[in-house]
Amino acid sequence: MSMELLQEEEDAPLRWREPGTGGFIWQSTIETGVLREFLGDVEWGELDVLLVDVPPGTDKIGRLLELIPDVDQMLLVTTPSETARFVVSKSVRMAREAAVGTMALVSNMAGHTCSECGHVSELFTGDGAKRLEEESGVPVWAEIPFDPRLGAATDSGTPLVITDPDAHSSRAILALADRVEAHVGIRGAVEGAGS
Amino acid sequence: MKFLCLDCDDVMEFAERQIPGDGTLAAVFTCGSCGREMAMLTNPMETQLVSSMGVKIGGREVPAQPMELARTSLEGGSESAFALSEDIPLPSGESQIQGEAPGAGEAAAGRVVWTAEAAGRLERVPSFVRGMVKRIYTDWAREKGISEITPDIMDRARTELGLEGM
Repeated sequence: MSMELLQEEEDAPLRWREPGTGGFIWQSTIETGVLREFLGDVEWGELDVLLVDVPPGTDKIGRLLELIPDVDQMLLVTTPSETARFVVSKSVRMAREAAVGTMALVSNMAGHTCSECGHVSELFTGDGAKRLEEESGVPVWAEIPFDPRLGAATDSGTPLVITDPDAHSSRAILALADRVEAHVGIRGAVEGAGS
Repeated sequence: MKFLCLDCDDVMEFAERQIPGDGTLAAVFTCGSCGREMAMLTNPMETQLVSSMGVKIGGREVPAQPMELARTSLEGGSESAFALSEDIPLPSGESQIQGEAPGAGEAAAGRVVWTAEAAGRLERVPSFVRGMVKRIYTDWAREKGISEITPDIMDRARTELGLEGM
């Protein structure tokens, strides 16, 4: 479920009906209200997992935790960069204060895989994800290398884990799925999605 | 939020609400003891803020509708996303526009039919809330045991439900 599904035009930015000035006053209120409607009004059916993809920033996490105070698991996506570590550390603290059941880090763009030889080279000089793990005690569950084929596969509509499950990035994503699955017990659902 | 009549020390009761259509809102409250009236006026910004918080001044006349805030607040919302899709199986007793009349068995099951005139009037409702408005009228008609919605029935429902602008 996404706001994208409710908009008429593909390139339309998300805008709310409001007077010309002062929109910032109630933008957060409307967004939180609509998120509440997504959670409460959509006929989700019987779910194995409800995955909520939250944009970067602690304010969005805060809104979600107000609506779902008993989040079972939170994956915080970072990169090896020091700047990302600095930003994501705030989210770690917020989630910890909200007593989220399980937290884990995902280090995205952890190196670049050469499409010719498979060699992995670093994109960032920092070691932010691992530092954050050491400082916060939140484990890194996956290090996913940058792979242009991931984007191409997404554009084509078929995930790389389906077309090339042995790719380095695919293996990292599948290993992450295993960790998530082991925590929330959704073996059947994950196998079904991959078949 | 409540208003208190200082002379009587009583909570004033909601009496009337007016939505002129320019974004402003006026609500009248009356003291049940001395009859004193007061009016609250909100400018468009205040009206929007109150609306965004889900507050219905004077209370709700109709139940909350699914995705109500998204329907009414999203700029550029898709008509197809907010309409009642004919492809989606309707719950028992859902309405039909005339010309799409259900079978005899379905009519007996409490379905509500819209006349062409009423359907035409419904078309004038902004698309992003049309499905919700249709459902409100239909639910009201069914509750009243009315099987056909005409413009007159719409007027009656609008008066009873306080649906200004619908």
